Amino acid sequence: MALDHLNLDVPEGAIYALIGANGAGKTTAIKTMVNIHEPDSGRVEISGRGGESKDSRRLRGRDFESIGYVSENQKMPEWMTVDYLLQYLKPFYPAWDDSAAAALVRKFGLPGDRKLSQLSRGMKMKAALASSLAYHPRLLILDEPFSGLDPLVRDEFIEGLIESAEGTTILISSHDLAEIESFASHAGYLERGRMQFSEEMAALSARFREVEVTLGEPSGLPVNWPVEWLQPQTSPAVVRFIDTRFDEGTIGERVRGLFPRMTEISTRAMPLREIFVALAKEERRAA
Amino acid sequence: MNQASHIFAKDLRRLWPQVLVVSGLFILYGMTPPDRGGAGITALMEHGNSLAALVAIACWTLGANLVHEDGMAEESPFWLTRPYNRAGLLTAKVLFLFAFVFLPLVASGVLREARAGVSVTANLGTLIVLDLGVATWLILPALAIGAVSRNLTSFAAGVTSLAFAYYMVGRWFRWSMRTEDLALRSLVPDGPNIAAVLPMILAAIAVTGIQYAARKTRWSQVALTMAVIGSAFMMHLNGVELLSARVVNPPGFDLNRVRISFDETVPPRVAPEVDRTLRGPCPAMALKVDGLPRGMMLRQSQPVQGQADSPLAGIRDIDKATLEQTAEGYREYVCVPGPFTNARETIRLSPNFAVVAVETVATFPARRGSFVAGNAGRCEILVPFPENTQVRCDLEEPLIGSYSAGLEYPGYGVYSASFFPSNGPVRMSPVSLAKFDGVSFDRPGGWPFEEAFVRQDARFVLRTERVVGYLQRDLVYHDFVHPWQYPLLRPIPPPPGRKK
Repeated sequence: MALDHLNLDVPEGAIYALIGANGAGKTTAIKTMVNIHEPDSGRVEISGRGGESKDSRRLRGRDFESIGYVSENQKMPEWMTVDYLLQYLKPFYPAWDDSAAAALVRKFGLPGDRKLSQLSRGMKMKAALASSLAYHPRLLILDEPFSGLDPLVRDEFIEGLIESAEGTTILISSHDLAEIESFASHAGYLERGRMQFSEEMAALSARFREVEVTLGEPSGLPVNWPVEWLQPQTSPAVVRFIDTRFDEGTIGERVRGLFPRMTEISTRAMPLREIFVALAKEERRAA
Repeated sequence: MNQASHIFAKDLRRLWPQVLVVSGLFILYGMTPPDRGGAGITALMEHGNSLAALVAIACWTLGANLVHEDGMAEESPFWLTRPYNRAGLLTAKVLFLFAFVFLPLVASGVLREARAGVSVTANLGTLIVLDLGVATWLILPALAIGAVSRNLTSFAAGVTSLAFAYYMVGRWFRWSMRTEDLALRSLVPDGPNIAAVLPMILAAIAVTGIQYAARKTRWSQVALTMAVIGSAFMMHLNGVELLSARVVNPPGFDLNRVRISFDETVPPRVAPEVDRTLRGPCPAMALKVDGLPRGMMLRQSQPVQGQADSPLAGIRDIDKATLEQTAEGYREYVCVPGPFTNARETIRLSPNFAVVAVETVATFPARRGSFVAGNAGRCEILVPFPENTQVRCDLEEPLIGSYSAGLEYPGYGVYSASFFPSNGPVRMSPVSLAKFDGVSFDRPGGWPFEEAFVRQDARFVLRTERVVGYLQRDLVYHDFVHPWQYPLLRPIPPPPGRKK
């Protein structure tokens, strides 16, 4: 079972980062959302043109006038030139914006007369993104868009995305957490097909902390170690762990309850990448 | 925006080189003179026509590539997450194949008819109807198999797998029914069998529709395979029915009374032009046929199985032998494979024969012109090209059995091979072209019409043929000698009063 009781609610206007280890079910979840895969049960509601919701299984033709999908796995019409790709797609979208398309081509430095097959991977992804932003979609779904891109191309891609997708709800799955962290407003963590958490980035950053406790004398880990404190590491007089429910007001008291001879406590905010690694390691350990 | 026309234009932009190839092949086909018996345009699908095979392969490749342009079987095709109208997509594909396969097919038929001196306007309706049938085989498989395959390689694998499934059904039938004991080796009759191919046609249409509507690739693949197997079963069951209903107990006489053997008292002879045509030495070996009632004759069904056994050259398989009936009797052109040695060898052949009730419908002089063919209709003898002669007949329909034409004069007689081994009604094309030339491909003895045309006593004979039963015989020739030792076939007797 690739997805198991997955509940994912992407608020309108959000940039939602779907993260998870390889095989966690991110791509399956996304393909189910755009009706490439049909779920055995359950449903995905996608915001339609008029703002109404629609079961993803019923997504057809015109529903995609307001949905964009860019994936590293999607087969592109490689024989088309960039210009012809845009020219070909234009009649499909009533909201197609020629000036936006031209601006995206300029912004991404896309060679209009080159076939997609002759483009680098990064250029191909930019062409796919340009062709999906030119009609100002209400929802843009990006599946591993940065995979295999060099840092410069990645930056250009993100910059173009942020500039051109204002007001668009974006769902993005990626391993490039450092990049995602810079612009995502929400994050969801998928583990073996189940959503472990889904929240705003600010709240996520606020509740994850690396905690370092200095002890007055060497001590082992107590038996009643809290489950929300991950990856405890001990050295003779120092204990480090990751608190997944950090609360500045209570952390001192909770630590002191376990380590009465504690002399000092310090906390450090964690970037998304470290949070992800910590969770992934915990998942592997539990498995 | 008309989405179908937009997709159509995109596909044309992508596939125009292939469209040119297909159109070129159709033009080439249109320029080719009718070279086989039977309805002219349907000769496109005749066995052994290499240009027709090229046309078919080109059309299938074009069709498969066209479908794969917006593939149905890929997991994540580009079009799936774009605002494509699926009905519009299918319409675009069908229109494309109509424009670049069906229309060129009709055009090639028109060109062919015009070059053959046949009235195009009078026969356009029939031509289109016939071509719809031909186009079914040029378009539908490409659409259906293309819709369940991802690329040309998997398309070819699909075609091969389906052909293999069909073949295995035939093998199973032969194994389970021990057809070696029965008269008909090949259980599938040569004639059209619409009921049997109907499952395939319906499945192809359904699969194409389902794939474009809902993309159920696995189910579609299974459905297509089951339909092919079902069609194969129905075709073979039809053959079995022929065997049980008419072969084992044909009305009127006992097939067991028909005795056929090589007549070793008549030495094998060669016709050099025949050997050239059949690509190897194919000596004519006389047959002795007894017990065949008056008004009946033998036809031969393929495939033929046999062996040549020589002490020096070993055992070689014989897979080509052609039966001919002349005024001198039956003879079998047996194509013996090399190597050839001086040793005498034994030839064993197991042909399958159809016993055919023959009825002469009309006779008319063998010369240019238009003639009333008894009550059957009207026939015209044309010489549209210097190298061949055609007999075109407008015949009454429907027909029970089939028509064949023969050229006869005193001491000589040869008959066209085209016939349908079915007792059901067969619709004939009003544009029935039959070519006769000196080295006619399917008449090893050739049609000596040049000789016939200068005679006053030569005539064409129009006959109906109806299969009343099948039989299989094992023929043995004990003292077969080397090809270079054959005497030539007896020359055609000159017309009365003409000097040799």
